[in-house]
Amino acid sequence: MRLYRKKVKNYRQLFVIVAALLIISTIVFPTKSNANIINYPDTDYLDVSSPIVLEFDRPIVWDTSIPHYSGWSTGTIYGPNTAHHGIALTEISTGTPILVAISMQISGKKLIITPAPGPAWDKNKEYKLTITDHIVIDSSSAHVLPSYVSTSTPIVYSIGTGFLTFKDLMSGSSPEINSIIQDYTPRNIRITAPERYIQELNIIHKRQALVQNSTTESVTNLDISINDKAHENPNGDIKTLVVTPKMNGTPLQPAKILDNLNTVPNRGNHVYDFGFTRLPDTSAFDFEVILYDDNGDPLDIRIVKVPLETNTTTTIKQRDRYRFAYRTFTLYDLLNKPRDLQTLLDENRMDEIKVRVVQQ
Amino acid sequence: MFKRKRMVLSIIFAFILLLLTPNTTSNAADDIDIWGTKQITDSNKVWTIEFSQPLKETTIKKTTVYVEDENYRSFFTDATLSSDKKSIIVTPKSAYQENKTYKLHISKDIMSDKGKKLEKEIILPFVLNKASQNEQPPTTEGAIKNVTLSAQNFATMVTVVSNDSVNRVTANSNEMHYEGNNTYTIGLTGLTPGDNVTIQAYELNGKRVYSKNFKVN
Repeated sequence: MRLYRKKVKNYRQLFVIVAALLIISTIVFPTKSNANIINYPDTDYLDVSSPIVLEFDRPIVWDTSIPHYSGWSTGTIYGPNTAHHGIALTEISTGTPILVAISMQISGKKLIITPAPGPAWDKNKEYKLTITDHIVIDSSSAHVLPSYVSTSTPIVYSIGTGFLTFKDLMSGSSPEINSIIQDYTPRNIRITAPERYIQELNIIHKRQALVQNSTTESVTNLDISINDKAHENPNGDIKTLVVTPKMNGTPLQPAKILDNLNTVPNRGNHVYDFGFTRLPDTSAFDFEVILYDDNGDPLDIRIVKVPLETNTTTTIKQRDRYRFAYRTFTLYDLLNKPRDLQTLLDENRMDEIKVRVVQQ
Repeated sequence: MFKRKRMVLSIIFAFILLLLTPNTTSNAADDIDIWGTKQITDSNKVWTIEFSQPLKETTIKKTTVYVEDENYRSFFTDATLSSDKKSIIVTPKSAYQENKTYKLHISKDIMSDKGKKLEKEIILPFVLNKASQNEQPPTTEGAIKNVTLSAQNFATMVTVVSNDSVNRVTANSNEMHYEGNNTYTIGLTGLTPGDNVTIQAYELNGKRVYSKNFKVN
């Protein structure tokens, strides 16, 4: 019985010592945390106008024990991407931090990182956000980022600034909307109509004719009126114009290409004319007109049909008007105003409308 | 006293002169030929106005050929010349609204190829009355080969395949996008199963060659 009491006493002493050590460790090493990051950048379709947001489950402050953040309790820190301690935004293709100014702001539970837009932080690129230090902590000085975060074991978020098409978003057997809506509200899903450069297309197709017992060739003229002033880039960004006559989706003749249009002086309206011979007389055919930028990405596409007619000459004048060219809506806006959604679909094919997300 | 009488007389004389001055607006009616109001059933009606002589293309512009609505607001249209230059083809950029009166104006400033002006401005009033639409459904065999309606999130995708002669296709009066290879598409919002979609097809001369209703599944 005495032996039993002694054992109990020893266990009790051991328990007190362990408990005391645990209490001391939490005071000396305040790194243990059950904090969670409840929202973080995880998308291939981030709009470059959107900040990158890490949202925690509790309010955060800068860790002022780190010299770079001393003097800041909350508020915004401005500076070049490369100058910020413990955090960097890198373009994946180059592997080096991008040369761009970044503002970092704490707002309640959110760490908001806003890169300045420009060629370094641009559309259709892939980036990673790397955090190598506990730059933010909670109000009790406990870490909120995972405890392992260090220069050798950073936390890395991949961010793409590409786009989905409205067709990808809405159609098919597994439309993307089903997965995107899990992470982004309709107000955070941005839908942008394409920029429009082609103003007017005029076609004159003169069919073969019998003139004084000899057959003349068919001759076709195509005038394309283009305005190369863009909303986003008033200096113009059209580099190449490609015209391909097609039938049943197959080129009838090699494409005609005008290149280096971005060197044309005087931004504004320009008319480019093309001539063709021997295009079909006894069936319809199409002209496919595509404008490309200097990355080779298509800017504006128009397909015009030359229908079959009994007339010797077919004249087509196509001039489209776009109320919503380059206008951005949230999905919420379009759900709220179905007439705007219908106008968007009237003016653009579903696969021309670009969809991106914002984090706030 | 005599001076005052003279002043009153001269005011009365001036007033009489003012009354006798010809009213130019009432005379303007002599320069306008207002045609009888036409009933149309097609909300995308394309007007073709034929002339006896070929017309000068540069005189066909927004200020000489245009449509205005009941409130004298300009209605977006495209006015082009036919291949033989003897007809003006006026295509609406959006659908006309039912039971509203529109006026197609053809100014006397349009000229023939030889530089001769039109004697009078022409005004053609017209009203869209869809009620009689189904009475004379125009169809040309084989104008439309295939129509597919596919319900998607937020929109019904309409795909139409035409023959070689068709130049434009509408779905519920919305102009469809030409995708190439005789294929036209558009997304229509607000449709539910059982709703009708009216497909209409037109040739380049504006002639409607197809009109048929399809139900959304």
